Amino acid sequence: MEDLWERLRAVRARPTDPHDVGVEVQSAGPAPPGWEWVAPMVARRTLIFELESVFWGQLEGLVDAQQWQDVLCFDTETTGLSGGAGTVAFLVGWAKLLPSREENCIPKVQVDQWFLRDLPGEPELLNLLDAEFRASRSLVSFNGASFDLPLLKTRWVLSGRTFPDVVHRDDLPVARRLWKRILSSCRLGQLEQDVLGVQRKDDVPGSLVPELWFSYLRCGAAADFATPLEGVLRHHAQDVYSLLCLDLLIHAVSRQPGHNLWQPVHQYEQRRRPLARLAPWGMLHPDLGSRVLVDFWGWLALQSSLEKVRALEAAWQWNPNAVVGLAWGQTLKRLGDIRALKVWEFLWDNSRCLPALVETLKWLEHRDRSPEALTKALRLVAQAQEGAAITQKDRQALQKRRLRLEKRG
Amino acid sequence: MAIPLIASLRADPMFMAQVQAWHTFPEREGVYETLPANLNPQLVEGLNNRGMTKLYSHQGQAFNAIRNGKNILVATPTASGKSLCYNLPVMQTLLEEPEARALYLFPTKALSQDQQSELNETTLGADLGLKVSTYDGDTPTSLRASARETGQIIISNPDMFHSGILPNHPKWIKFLKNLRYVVVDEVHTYRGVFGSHVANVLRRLRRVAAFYGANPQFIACSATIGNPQEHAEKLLGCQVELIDQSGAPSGKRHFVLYNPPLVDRVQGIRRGTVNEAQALAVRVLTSGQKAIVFARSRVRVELIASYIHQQLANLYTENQRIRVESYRGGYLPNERREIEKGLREGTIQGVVSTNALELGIDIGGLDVAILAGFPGSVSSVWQQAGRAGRRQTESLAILIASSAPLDQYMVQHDSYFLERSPEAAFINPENPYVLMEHVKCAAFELPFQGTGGTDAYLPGVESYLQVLEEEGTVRRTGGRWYWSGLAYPAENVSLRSASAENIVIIDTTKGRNQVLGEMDRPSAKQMIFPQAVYMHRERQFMVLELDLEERRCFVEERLVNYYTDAVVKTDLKVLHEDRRFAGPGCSLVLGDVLVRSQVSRFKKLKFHTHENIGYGEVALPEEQMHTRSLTLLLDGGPSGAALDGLEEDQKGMAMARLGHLLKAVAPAFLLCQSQDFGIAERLRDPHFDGPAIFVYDQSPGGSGLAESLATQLELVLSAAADLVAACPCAEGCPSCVGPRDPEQEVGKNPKLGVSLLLEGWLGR
Repeated sequence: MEDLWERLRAVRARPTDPHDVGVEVQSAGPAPPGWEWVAPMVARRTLIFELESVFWGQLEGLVDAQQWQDVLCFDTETTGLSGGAGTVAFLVGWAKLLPSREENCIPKVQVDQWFLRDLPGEPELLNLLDAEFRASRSLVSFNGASFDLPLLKTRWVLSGRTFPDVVHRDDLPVARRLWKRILSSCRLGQLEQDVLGVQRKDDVPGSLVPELWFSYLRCGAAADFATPLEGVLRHHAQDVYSLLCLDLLIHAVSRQPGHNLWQPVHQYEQRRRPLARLAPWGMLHPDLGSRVLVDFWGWLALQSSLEKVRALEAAWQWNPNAVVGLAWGQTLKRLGDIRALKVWEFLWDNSRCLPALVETLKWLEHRDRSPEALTKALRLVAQAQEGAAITQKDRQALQKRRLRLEKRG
Repeated sequence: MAIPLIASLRADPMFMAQVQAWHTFPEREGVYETLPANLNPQLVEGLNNRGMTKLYSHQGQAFNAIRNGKNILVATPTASGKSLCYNLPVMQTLLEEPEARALYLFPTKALSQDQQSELNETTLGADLGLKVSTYDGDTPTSLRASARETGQIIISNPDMFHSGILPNHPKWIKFLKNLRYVVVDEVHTYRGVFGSHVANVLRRLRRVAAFYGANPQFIACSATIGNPQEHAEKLLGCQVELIDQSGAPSGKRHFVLYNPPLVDRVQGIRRGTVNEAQALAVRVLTSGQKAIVFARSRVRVELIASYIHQQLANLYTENQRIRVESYRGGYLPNERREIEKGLREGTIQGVVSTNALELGIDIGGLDVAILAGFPGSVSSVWQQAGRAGRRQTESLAILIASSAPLDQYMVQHDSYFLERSPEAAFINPENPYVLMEHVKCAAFELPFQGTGGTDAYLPGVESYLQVLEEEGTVRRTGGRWYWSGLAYPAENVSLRSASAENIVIIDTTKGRNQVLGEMDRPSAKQMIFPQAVYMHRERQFMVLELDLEERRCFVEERLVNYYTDAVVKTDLKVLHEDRRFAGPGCSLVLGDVLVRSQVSRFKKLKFHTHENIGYGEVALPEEQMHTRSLTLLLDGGPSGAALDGLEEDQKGMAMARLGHLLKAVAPAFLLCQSQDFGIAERLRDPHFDGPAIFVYDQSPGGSGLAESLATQLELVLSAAADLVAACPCAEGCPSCVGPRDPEQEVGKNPKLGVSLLLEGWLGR
């Protein structure tokens, strides 16, 4: 432990200069290539990327590019990771879709980045962002509901204004529903790698970002920030680019239930294979064009009630397994649709699924009630009692049912 | 109205033989005022419904002062209706301006809960439609946003305000912009290093409120202390109007100093406070009076309560319809609420408590308070005694002395005790160690303005900012000082030296797996080690496992006829000498020390007789505290010579007594309380190879007390010498070198040795 008293004494002994205002950031100087000074301490750049044709090709018809105009998929880089009044966003930016005027043309992606060179420039940065946000249609973020947006609102409050009233959508909760049980985590980086197929090279970990900005400041906040902070700027651009792609994909997955691009699954031991190469600075992934695996229940929960029937039917066709089948059968049963019987019988014949048998028996005994149905039921019970590996309890239940059926018969 | 018990005690020669003093305070008529003319009709109606048609004079005085825009301090006795002093004007304003907001700060979560229920149920809040929200560590996240947005009165504690609210103040813009009143209750508890922290939290509060254009009024309340106004002004950082004339009536109050009978005349051993308190409590309860017993430790609380239960146990009379409960920290919150409610509503007749019930939790009026042992400070005695006392009837407080020299001195010199004013509270918001932490927090909250780093609410902090700038945690640019650290500073600053870590006690009997209670970590090592007997509201449990990593303790219900007591060994190790320099008549060393305490074994003590029936081993890691220390080396120089001048067998005693003396004198110079630092004296210290007195900080890492003492040691020592010389006692008393311990110091006068040592040392 250092002796604070001694250090205070030493500081107090130094002559003070009343005109000293601390570090003077030198007047702008030339902006780094690709950047322009839009205020004395705020720089901006715009990057245009081609959207991967394979990716867009698969989304085509599912996503209307016009709807994405002026939707800002944004992210912030901040001076601290736990928020609070002393945490500043020093890099704010977004990716948005640029629909092309011509038919059958792949839309481009525009990435805008706003960089704060030193703390006194913050009011100007907020001023510029305020206008951009107000002009946008909506904001999309990843975990923005609990981090980025409260942080930006705090900055707006501290500079004495109110945050623009723009619609905001956080993709994290939706992504969690679709992939939480498939992937080990639902961080953006993980989704990027396993769903979008991006492999970043020499990426700066997010946790190091605050320290990198502070060390840039301590080294004098030079006009050429792009060299020392190149990794941070690239990391941020990739983040917003991936977020836009993820948002498009989520939209397609959740709104287009019957499409054959994604495969709702409930067994996650199958490794997910990425869909497309999306990285402006990434590596091409060898495995393009395969299906996107999404969590069956999470995917189902995203469907509106009207779409559910169609979604389930499609799911049953792709993947006739017990989980999907029972859910589909249950829905059909509720609708009084005799196809339910087919589904259950299929499950019993192919995978000896006992709950499906029980459902079949119930239908035959209580709904159909014809002599043929009862005979069929008795045959099925006998079959189950003979062959299937079932527990004592289930066996007893079957025996009870058998006695009842025999009485009726 | 007289209670028959008092006459019967007076007429009892056995009891009276042990009474050292019986002091009577006459009854006092109430002084009333009519309800303020402009009082909101809804409030008038609400008060009338509770049978209140007038106010006590101090309540009226407080109402007017607040309405006139003054900051006030209400320092009236326990149970004089202090909470109405702030509730009434606050509610009046909130009814007039629903947009206005008020903040209530209480030192503990238990008090906040109590206040919320009082506002919602007992008083008028609910009927008036005022939104009262508690915001502390226990508030679920789902309720936090609505508390911020709509809570008109926010009830919180300084710790939560410091780490949860201030660093996120923009989320609180609506509340802070309209903040009109800040109520700080129990300001006497904000003393010492803790008080110095709280004072800085309040400065930060004013600073942030000012940013939103608010300048709240402060309403403080205090129990009786020596310097209420001075203390409050320093704590709040503004002038306050003192209201200390209570208009509340009170019945006649008796205060009895009781010295238990000797059981061993030769060794001077007296009957223990536990059994005496139990016998007295049973006598009080069976005579139909309500009683509160204060005991000095958690174990004693449980012991006294269980003995009372055993005495009263009778199946046929349902224990004579007397219900007695124990009460202490570590019970689950709803258990505590239930006991408090039972006391208020009269379904519980007796309670045995630690000092947890000393603070202003509303438990209604009780007839008799029994203090099992001197609670450590005069103001605590009056706080605890004040728990007995009603507006109309007589009340009685009995202080039972233990065999400790301090207790014995108190009962034998009753005038010393009765005439002594309550202890003053000291705080030092400018303590550099404390201030530095809050400068960091403040810089995080809002950048410091101006070239000088001057700030209306945290004046004179430029040098602190410069030190932080050198460290790189603030950045000065464009004439402002910005926070530029990575961390969230408030997270690393704890207002209290005790850690907030606690151990959950889990009952595993018959696979129950239910949480029984909780305990702080240092105490857990001493009280719930494996094989310890843990007592919880009359039930006994055996500790099966103490898992310090996971902070869990598994216990199982088991009936045994003993309880356990840990044997704690403490020692101190020098880690690093920062600086060695010459002090007044001695050498001084400033540096880091490690204070270690370890439970190595425990005693099994039989119930009732408290005889030792065996030992057990404990294998737990030691508790360590790394802290700062100032060491006084009495080698050579005037101090060494003075020590050598004493007789060999007086040396150790004089050093020990000097330690006691420093504990009594130093708080006034260091502006702390005596619990904030520890003293260890060694006649032959192995590290320094000579006589040494260590004065070490009780806050882990140090809070600047050792450094402060280094600059003021000469003043402290000469004040100590003056005190000893001027003290009229013959052989030492609690005010100077400590009362003489007849067991340890046969035939010697400790005061003489200390005077000789000090006079020689200071060359008088």
